[in-house]
Amino acid sequence: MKTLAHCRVLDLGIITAGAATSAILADLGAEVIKIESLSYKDPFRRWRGQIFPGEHPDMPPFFRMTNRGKKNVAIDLKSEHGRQVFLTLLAKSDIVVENFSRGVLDRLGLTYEVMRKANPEIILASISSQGESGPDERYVSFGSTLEAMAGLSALTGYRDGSPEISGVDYNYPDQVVAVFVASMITTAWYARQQGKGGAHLDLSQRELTSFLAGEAFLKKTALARIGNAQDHCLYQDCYLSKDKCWIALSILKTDQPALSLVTGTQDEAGLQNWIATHEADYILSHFKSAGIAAQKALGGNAVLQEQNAAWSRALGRARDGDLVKGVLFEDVSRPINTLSPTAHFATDTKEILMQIGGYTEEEIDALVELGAISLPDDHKG
Amino acid sequence: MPIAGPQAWNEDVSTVSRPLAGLTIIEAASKGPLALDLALGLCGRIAADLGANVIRLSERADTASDLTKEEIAFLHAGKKRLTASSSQFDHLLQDVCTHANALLCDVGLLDHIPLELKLPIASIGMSLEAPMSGSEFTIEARSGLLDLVGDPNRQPLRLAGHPLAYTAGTALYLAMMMGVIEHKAGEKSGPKRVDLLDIGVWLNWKTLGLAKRGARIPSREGSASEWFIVPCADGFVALVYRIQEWEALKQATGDQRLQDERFATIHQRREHSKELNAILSDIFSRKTRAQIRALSLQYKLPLGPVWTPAELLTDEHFKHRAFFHPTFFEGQTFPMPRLPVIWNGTAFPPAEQEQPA
Repeated sequence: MKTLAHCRVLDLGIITAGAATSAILADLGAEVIKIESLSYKDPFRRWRGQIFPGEHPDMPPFFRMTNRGKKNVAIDLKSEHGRQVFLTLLAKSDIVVENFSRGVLDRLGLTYEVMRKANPEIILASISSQGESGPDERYVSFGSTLEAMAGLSALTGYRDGSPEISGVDYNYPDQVVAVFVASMITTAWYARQQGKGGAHLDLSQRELTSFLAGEAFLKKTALARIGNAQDHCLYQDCYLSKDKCWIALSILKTDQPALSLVTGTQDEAGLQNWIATHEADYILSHFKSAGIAAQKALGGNAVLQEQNAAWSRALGRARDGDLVKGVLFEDVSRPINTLSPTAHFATDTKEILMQIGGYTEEEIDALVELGAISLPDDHKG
Repeated sequence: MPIAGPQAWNEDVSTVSRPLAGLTIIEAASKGPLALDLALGLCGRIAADLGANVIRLSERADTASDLTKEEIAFLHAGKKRLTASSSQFDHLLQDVCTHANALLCDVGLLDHIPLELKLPIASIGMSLEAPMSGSEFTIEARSGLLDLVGDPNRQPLRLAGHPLAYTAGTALYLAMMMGVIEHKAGEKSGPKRVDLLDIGVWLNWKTLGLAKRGARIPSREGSASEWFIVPCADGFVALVYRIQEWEALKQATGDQRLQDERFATIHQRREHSKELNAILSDIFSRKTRAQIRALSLQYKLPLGPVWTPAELLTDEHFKHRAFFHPTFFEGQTFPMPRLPVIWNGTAFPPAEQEQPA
């Protein structure tokens, strides 16, 4: 898909929320230039020390999976010369994505007003924990912090238990925000094409997390934690089969006759007992024949085994064969783009500065001397 | 541009200047799984809040569906709602699409769309294998997401609400916008397709990325998780922090027990996580959520006081950002969350409910 082929993105995004937003824009055809510096690299490069044998220590899997399809340029935004280089590139770009802690861009002298002066049509997506203003403006968070603060955790949990969070391995708010922000950026891109100019998008992850549980705020009565149940289901839960598989079942009120036919019971205790005395495959085939939604609760390996049968595009391969994040949707008339592999630190500094910034080799050498930019190790004399 | 306070908000109540003003979008739902209706509904809600004229065409009246009245109010703010019987549906769909700029639908309706309609289409299904069957919950099970939440000795647990269906609805919105942009540019493109299962797997990328590389596969760990929730003096708090926050956490709590050499390094803290978590639980059991919030702000800690939706309605931060808007629906006024974006300093309050035609 090359829909955003004429769109250039300066990616200051880090870890998941910001970096994954830009990765989605790359999927849509945008030219994405990730900007880091020697003094501040994306913390995902050092995440939990997940380095596997034979892999570059600066390129762990989580970082590679989220930064494929991008170019990499090293500019020290703390240096005045580096800041000027950034603004020179910005004048020839369309979108900036950032998710620094609030106050960082101000300290760097890179506010929206400064950016707009360099490029009146620029679209700046500011992704933050709490938004650009308000008493909690400076609150820092990971995704699960926001589940707690946004009202989602209070509703998540077993009937008799404490609130729950999705945790470090899922971290739901950090994933979904990338989808939402990419959506708002493309909306701003569309509006700009309609003559509405650039935009500053103030995107609060906490607000998004609350918004995506929006109906909970409309309830007149206090809500309780109800485990896996949902209003529209007669029963919905995971039940353990005889061969120790968790079976996820959604039994609608209209499924009651079918439930009775399959299990000989209509109450939940009877259902639980029936499942406990049968094997998972037998259970699934009978429920599916009866039109009742049923699945095994799968772990990671089992999910992978279903690729190309049940799902296809969520994970992909970069051109070098590396397993990376895939795409959110496909155009049924076009093939999915194969993405360039994740670039090493500073790989494209020289090329981008020359081609987009208009810098000469001598100017680039001088900027390296000043510490304003960096080249990859193999480019240094 | 810093906003001084709620009174300084520029709330764009009219839809004329919103980004999607002038677009008409059809949201068509058949009698498929509820998850698809939820995803379509959220996608249409986003478009409506951004200024599009959204017409929802459904094979069953919303009141006859499995949606709760709160879900109906939340999803269908500002839309025109039409219901048609199966025999009238195709004709009406074709009719409303004639002057529309985009169509949102479930994949079950794709065969009902005449080829001569050249408008951008964004469609949604459950999975490649079974596009129109299953539930949000069973798709969460199949994507591995259920396996990540809850206690290892109890059943896997879903997150509350509709996180998967609504993420899919957001992806559907992105797909629709791509179609609209391509169409405006005169590019030839086909229908876009989102599947709930692919979205679930996409959300679960960390687990699968590790599994593919033969690493330890994450699964739910309950109270042994790196991040977990503990009771505090007036509720609960999510103890969320990473290695870089350890020193700040020690400083913020001022508790000597955390100085113990058993906790000096990340490896030692992992080795003694049970003892460490017991100490942290004890420390926070005596603090209120307001105190924890203040400490988090002061020491830049990502701790999460657990607020309930009812409490958030009067939360000072949300009040400052005018996050809730009184919205009239079926004789009642609801506190409706607005779209979570401030656009050049402008918030877009949700439109009042349209009554079914």
